[in-house]
This record gives sequence, C-alpha cells and structure tokens, in this order.
Amino acid sequence: MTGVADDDVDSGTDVEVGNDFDSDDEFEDSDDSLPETELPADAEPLTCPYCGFDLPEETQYRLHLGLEHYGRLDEAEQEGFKESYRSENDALDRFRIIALGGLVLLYFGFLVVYALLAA
Amino acid sequence: MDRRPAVSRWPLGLRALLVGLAAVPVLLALSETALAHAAALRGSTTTVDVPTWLFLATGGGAVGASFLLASFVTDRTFIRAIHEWGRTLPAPGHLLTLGVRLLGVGLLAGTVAVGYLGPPTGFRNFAVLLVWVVWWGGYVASTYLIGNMWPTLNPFRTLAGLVPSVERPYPDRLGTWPSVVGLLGLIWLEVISPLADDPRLLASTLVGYTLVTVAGSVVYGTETWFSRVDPIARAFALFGRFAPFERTTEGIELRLPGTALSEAGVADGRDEVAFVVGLLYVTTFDGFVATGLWSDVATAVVGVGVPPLATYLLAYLGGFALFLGAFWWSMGIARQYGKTYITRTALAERFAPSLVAIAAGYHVAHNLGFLLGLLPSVTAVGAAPLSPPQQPPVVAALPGWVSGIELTLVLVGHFVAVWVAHAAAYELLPGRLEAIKSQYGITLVMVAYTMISLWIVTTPTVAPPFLGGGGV
Repeated sequence: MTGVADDDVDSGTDVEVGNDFDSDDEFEDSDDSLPETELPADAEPLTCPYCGFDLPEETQYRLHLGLEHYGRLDEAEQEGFKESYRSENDALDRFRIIALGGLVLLYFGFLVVYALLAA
Repeated sequence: MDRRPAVSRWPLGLRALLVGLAAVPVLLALSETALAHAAALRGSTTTVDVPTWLFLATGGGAVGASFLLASFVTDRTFIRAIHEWGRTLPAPGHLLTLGVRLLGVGLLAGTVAVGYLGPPTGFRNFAVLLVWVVWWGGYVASTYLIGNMWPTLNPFRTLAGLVPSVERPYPDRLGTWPSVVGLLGLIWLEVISPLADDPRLLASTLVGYTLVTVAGSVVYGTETWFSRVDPIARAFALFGRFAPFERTTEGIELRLPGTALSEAGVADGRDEVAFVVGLLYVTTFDGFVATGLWSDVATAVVGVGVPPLATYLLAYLGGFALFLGAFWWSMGIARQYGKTYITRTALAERFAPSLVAIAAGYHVAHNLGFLLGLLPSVTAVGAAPLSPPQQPPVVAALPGWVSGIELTLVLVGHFVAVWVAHAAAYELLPGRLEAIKSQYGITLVMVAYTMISLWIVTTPTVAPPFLGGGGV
C-alpha cells in the first residue's frame, strides 16, 4: 500500500488506488450478483478464476481481479492490478482534458451564439 | 488492515464535486434567457427573442455538459458513499396504516358516488377534479418527491385484500409484460376517450378497474397482482425508488433522492426495462398529441383516408417502438465502448432506472401549472360536491416563474438521470474510463429526449384533433 503511495505522491493517484481496494470482498463468491454475459462467436475471453466472470481484454481483466478479489491475489497479480490502475489514471487524465475542452466549447459556443442574437 | 487513508481519500472526489457545484449555476445562468423565452411564450408577451432551436439546443447542451461534469468523478468509493448515505426512521404504527387504508377506500367510494351523482360537466364535478388534479397532478408527485405511500393508500389493494384468494400460480413467462400493456392501455384510454371530462365515464372506469383488480387478486393473490400486473402500483413503486423516503422491513429508510435507482434489482428483465421506458413514453405522448405539429400530421394522415383512431394508435405504438429502439441502441453502444461481455439486457436493467428521474421531472413539468391553476376549483367544488358553483374559480394567469420552475425541473430530472447512469456504470464496469465511455449512447438519447420534452412543454397546446373534446 505505501509502495503505491510512494510512486506518485504528487499526482494524487495513490489515493484512488487506496479507495478502490475497499471493495475487494464485497462481491466475493456471490455469483448471483454478477451480471449476465454473452460472448461473441469469435471471442477469446479471460475468465476470472474466482467468480467465473468473462472479460474481453487484459486491462479489464486485471482491474476486475483487483477490484473484486484483491485480498486473494498473489503479489504479482496485485502488482499487475496497480499497474493497470495507474495506466488507467493517465488515460483518465487525457479524457478529462478533452472533457474540459468540451465544456469550454459548449459554454463559449452558447455564449457567442447568445451574444450574436442579442446584438 | 485499514486501507483507508483517513484524510487523503477525499481530495479527488471533492475536487470533482467542487467543479460540479461551480458549474451548475453557470449552466443555469446559461439557460436563463431561454427560460425567459418560454415564460414569454406562455404569458404571450414577447420579451426576449430567442429562437426555439437555440432554446432547445441549450437544454440539450446542459444535459451534455452534466455528463461531461459527471465524468470528472471517477472515485468509486466516493460515488458509492453518495448512494449509500441514509438513515432508518421508525415505521408508522398499525393504527395510522389502518387510517390511511380507510381514507383510500373512502376517497374511492366518494369519487365514484360524486362521479355518478354530481353535475355532468367535468370542471364542476369533484370526481374529475379529485382524480385528475389532486391524484394525478398532486399525489403522484408525492410518490417521487416524498415516498411511495400507495401500497397503503391504494384502495384497490385494500378492497382486494378483503377477498380471499385462490392463489393460482402466476404464469412466469408473462413476467411483468401485462403491466406494460396495462400502462399503455390506460394512457391510451385517457388520450382517446373523454375520461378527463366526463364524470360518469370516469366513475364507470373506476368501478371497472376495481372489479378487474379484485378479480386478478382473487386468482393470483394480492402481492403477485400488485407487484407484477397492476400498472399503477408498478409505476408508483418505480417513482418510490426515486423518493427520499422508502418503507422497508426495518422501518422508513431515508436517502438522497434518486440514489437508490442505481442499485441492482430496480428493473429486472426486459419486461421491467420496457415498463420504465413506457413510463417515460406515455407522458411524452400525452403531451405530444396536444401540439400543433401532431394536429397538422394527424389531419394530413386522416385526409389520406386513414381512420382517426388508427392514426392515433399507429403513432402511439410507433412512438413507443422508437423509444425502445433508441434505448436498446444506446445499450449496444454501452456494450461496445464499455469493453464488456455483459448482455444488453443486463446493462439495460441497470441503466433504465435512470430514466425514472427524467419521467419524474417531466411529470412535474407537465402538471404543476395545471395543479396550481385548478386548486381554487378543487376547494370550491370540494366544499359542495353535489351543488358546486356554476363557474368554479381558477387562477386565470399563472405567474411566469411557474413555467420557469417547470423547465428547471425537466433539466434537474435529466441531471439526476445522468448521475444515476454514471453511478450504475461504475458499479458494472471495472475500467473507470470504460465506465464513462459506456454512457455515450444513453447520454445522446437523453440529450435528444430533453430537447423533445422541452419542446413539448413550451410549445402552445392545441386540442388534439378528431377526439371530440376528449383528452387533456
């Protein structure tokens, strides 16, 4: 836990990793709480060894393991989860910049249109 | 091992919340001009000249912006904390419950009696005012603003409970589809018949409804009937999931409005998803038939030789199919962008309840002015139901802010819906970015729906054509 925190103290990402560890026991082994899945014909799913949930790709798989079954993972899997979580933070940061840009565009777009109509 | 750093867990969530709180007034200020325009439309005095397209685009833009704002909140624990906040209050005593039951049955009996015995004109008959103004306009709002008291107040249920049941097994393959048909059927009846004007017809409908529910409950049992078949009880139960108060086995639960909608089990299976979409759709259709556009289209179609009722029915069912199709499409988008194998149905079960918030907002927008305008009538006619005044008083011109409130509530409903969809996505998907992207489709659908409903609420109402004075 502290290892994660040391990695990127200033970005605040460790905080979120810490938060999401809380949920690890919540759905454990309760298959009925899992949503139903349907695989496409050519799918090569990664199946969770703890709850049997199918996931389409490596990142989602590792995130699922860490979020749902953190306490049962070995060290390497835990590292893999933290790794995926951190790289997700970078992707989220990029998304936020775009979202902020979208908000600015929306706001000033409407501002300009209203200003033009008022003139 | 305590993995929660006590202080440092908040900054990101708080930051996101602050951004959100700061932006809401900006958005509201942005839409203010449009609100003024809408008020002007209703008050028929031209003040600010904003073209309709811009007004609608502003509403759509505000909903889109709320999605972008919600996307800043990516802390699962924070989202869950909001949705899990709550208190439990003591349940009401048996005596109070019994009193409410008696009140419900008394009101039903009184409504039927006045419907038959009172004056035949709708606006002078207390039965019509009680059902459409007090119950539909006012009471229904309490099911989502306060809590769903209907299971206790429901006179049909109280009456059905008095009769012993043979408890025949309910055919499971029917699911809750009968309630979807029932909902569409009831609103169809309300739109095409003079149910809102004719007290005798209204009283007969109430008697018929009582007979059907009692018979159904005798055959399948009260619990099964009212939880799976009866459309009114099911609609109110959904609205009750939005409300801040809910009766549970432990007592009365208090929570933040709308937060329970992201829980699993609010809608279970395609039938219940269709019911939620139907709930949203019927209010829209009810408003749509009173627009000038529908008047023109219907006149043209009937002019070609299609019978008027068939025109209405085609539009009614076609519109429902369109709503279902749009929602189903958005679930395909959720599946694709959310990078998941979860079925569309399973996704729809968690995303559909967000639409209840929109339906609630739209219900207020549709009924607030109506309720306030007719309240003086309700008091005057209610004081002497059998010999009411010739011209019951009404509020002739509502102040402009009423339609301002109506429009704000349409938007608030959408904001809550966007947030509920956001929270549901975070419950379902392991990837935070994927959870955001999974909402692309439903956000687009909500933006489109906002624009449609804002248009319906603000466009001048005309009497629906070919119905002979029927319809609201």
